[in-house]
Amino acid sequence: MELVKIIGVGLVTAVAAILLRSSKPELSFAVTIAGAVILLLFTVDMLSETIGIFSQIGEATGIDNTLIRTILKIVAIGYLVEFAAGIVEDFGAKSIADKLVFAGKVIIFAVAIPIVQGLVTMVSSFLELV
Amino acid sequence: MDIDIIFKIAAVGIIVTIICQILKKSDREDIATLVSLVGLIIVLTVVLDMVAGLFDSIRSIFDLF
Repeated sequence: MELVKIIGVGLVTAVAAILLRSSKPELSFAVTIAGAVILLLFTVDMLSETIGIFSQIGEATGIDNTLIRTILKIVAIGYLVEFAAGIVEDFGAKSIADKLVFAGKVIIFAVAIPIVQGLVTMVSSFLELV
Repeated sequence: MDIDIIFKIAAVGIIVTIICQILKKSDREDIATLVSLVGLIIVLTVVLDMVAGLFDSIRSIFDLF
């Protein structure tokens, strides 16, 4: 049922954007952002349940909490960067959208570095034991 | 929260366009640009609130930063 509402909002936003594009381009930019925000709010609600289950699994299996938090952080970064880059690209600023995507990748890499470091130290500690 | 915001923004856009056309015909060009500016600011503040709400909800769910 949620899907029908999401598709409806998407179509209405597209129509409103086209309607306003001829007379007021900047307002059609605002309509696009509003529509994107509404769509994301729908998905965020659905996402919150899956994340709750995800963290329960983490606690059950005893996985380190920082790992789960980092994964969630990466998902969130990807989510937001996709949101922003899509809107910016929609209005012709392709280069800025690419910059945004690149910045998102760099941030994700920076967030993931501690995990790699932990892995390396763990492996080296094993090697010393051998 | 759903579609009515999009309808409101579209309505503001159409009204502003009409007002600008009228003002242009009665050769008050400066007021026309002023009206379109005001309409843009109103719409942007509404959209800004929505984006802020989105970022807050994402931050609360992912307990990010």
